[in-house]
Amino acid sequence: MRQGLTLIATALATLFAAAPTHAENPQQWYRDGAATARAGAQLRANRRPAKNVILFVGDGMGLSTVAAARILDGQLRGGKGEENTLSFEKFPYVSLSKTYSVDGQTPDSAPTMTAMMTGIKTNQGVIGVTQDVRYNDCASSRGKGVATLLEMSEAMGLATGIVSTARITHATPAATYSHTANRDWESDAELTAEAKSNGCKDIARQLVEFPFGDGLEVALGGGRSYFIPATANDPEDAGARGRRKDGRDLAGEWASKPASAYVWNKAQFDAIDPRRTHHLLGLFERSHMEYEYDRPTDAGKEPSLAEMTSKAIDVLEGSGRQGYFLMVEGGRIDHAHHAGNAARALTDAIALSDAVKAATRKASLDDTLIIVTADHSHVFTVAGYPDRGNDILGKVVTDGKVALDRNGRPYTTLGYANGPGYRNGTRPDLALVDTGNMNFLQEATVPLESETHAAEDVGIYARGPGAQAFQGVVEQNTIFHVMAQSEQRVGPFLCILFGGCGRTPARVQPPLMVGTLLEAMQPRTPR
Amino acid sequence: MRTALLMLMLATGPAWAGSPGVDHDAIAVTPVDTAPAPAAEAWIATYRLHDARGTRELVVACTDDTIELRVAGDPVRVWQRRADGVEHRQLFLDEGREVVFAPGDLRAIGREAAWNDVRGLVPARVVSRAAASTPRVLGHDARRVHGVDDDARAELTWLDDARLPARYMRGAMQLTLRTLERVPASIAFTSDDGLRAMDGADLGDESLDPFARRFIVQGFRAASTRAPL
Repeated sequence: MRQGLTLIATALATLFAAAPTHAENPQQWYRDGAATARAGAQLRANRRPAKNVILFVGDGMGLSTVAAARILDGQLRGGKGEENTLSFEKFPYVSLSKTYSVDGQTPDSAPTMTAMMTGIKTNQGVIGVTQDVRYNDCASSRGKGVATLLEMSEAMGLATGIVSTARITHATPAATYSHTANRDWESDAELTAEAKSNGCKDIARQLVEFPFGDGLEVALGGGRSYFIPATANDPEDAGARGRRKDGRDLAGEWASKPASAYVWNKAQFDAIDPRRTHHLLGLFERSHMEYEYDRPTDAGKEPSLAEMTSKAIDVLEGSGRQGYFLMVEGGRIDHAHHAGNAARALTDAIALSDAVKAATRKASLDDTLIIVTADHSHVFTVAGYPDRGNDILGKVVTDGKVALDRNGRPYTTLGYANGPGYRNGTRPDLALVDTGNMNFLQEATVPLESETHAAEDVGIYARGPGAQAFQGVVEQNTIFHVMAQSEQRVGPFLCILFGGCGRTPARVQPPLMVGTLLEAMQPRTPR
Repeated sequence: MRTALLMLMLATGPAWAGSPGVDHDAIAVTPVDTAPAPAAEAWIATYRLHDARGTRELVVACTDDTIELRVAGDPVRVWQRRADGVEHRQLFLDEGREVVFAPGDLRAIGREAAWNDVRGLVPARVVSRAAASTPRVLGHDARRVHGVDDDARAELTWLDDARLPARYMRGAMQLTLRTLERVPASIAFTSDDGLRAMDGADLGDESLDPFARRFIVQGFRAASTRAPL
């Protein structure tokens, strides 16, 4: 056993060390490539159960975004850029994820994250429910909730947490803990009359009234207004108020429980002692948190995604549980792409890479499965024939000269197939335009107020116990099954329930419904 | 099934009761007031607006931190100074909807608003060139300037106390003040109670929402997120 671990460690160390150096000559290219190949051949799978599972989701972080962010990150470090690797690109197991939903070729974040968290694909716009549910139809969702990995983890006695730079009630984080026929039902103010009359709960309420175990240990992100009443002033923005019409102060309710705390700015966040706080709610903006580029100028001050990830791991480890499940989302990559603003999208993708790096420093390779992926891609391109090391945010320069279109005008390397960057009439002359400006909108071919998602596959990058299960091109819901079969407690439980693990025949038909899991929890002891 | 459920219950054990000792007072919430307190009174101004779209009435409601523009047939447009910058909202009263652009989202789409330009309807650089003059307008002291601004002929009569133009011409656009009054701020602005609000940042994720789909395709008066006129 010890020999096996040593082999794995040696292989990984070699793999990590095999990234090309800056000494670029034929001999070095050859040696680097050979070292990478040897490391891959020596790689031995870690087949032990995972004590902890961390899932990173770059919202909208398609392959072109990863490539461009890699280059920008490298250039910001003073290199040419292309040779750089983001933290998660060093992970040994890589696969591709097919992101379509049951009723959509190009998906939104609700069915995609549902796939990753429940093991099934579902319809556009719905969260944590089967494809039998009709969008915006509460009645159709009754009894159709599918248990998520986070719910199972909490039910099995593990600690759980979620972190996002978007609202913590936004589709991606919401899919870890909620079940709803409409992703927009984030507070009771958004519920339709039909939803209210049929007993559907808003997403924020589902987070605070989470019925499994003792509730989530960590929830950090934006979306403060969805948790506080419409009659209450916002603590950061004078004159702004909460959204809730039911009068409930959900943040206060969270903080009123034992060993629990609610924070809304960085000073309070920094003051949290993870040894004493076992349930931490942080809501740092009324809606989404700032883009990483704008974060330093935020009035209330916000922690970075890496800081939130580190704190979340500290709280989860400090909980005294036997392990944890953590989901971390870089939620604003998607928004910046929708805005047609590549610079902010890439800056937020780099922030996600930094958060992964923070996690890899804290979580052991031996016992923690870490997966980095995206829910869907965007119509974002890295185009033209720019010279090596050309400014990734700049105009295409080929053989040292600015490349021109057939009208004699320069064009940028980065662009969008559609979106707000469309210019009326002929292309603009970018000769004197600073395309590296953070507010520059890359050109788009089709005029839309908001750029759209794309249907291409996204990457899955994994390391740690169970990561070797990622092979080839997989359906997105496979991500759940890899996490579930690897997690120390959920894996054996699902084996007994559904069979297929060489032990016993299946006892029930999958998937595991929320109602079934809740029944198993009875009698439940409240937190 | 029973075995599985039993296993689950065994594995779960008693719900954790938490450990005592967190000092909630140590992390007490302290409000930060970086934007001005709500004003007691607001200005209501009605204008005759003439531009390429024709002639119509523009109603402006404003305080030191908020300005709202109402034109028949257009969404109600509001700019509000917040701790992080200027927020812009568009109220679609007939459709019961509201789109909110946070300051950061306006920056991301290249439509960040400069408060001094937005609040006075007129670019602050033009106002700064206006000099004291007579006669008074509707009983208010006025300043005036005329010349060329940004390659267009411009003429401005400016009221310092309201921080609004009495008359502004720029190219073919003409804005003429008809009435000006002070009213309680509580009744000056359009209420967004009952409107379903969504973030501008979320529009792209709302492909199932017919309203959002129209907004994405038409953009409505999206360019007006940067400046009122």
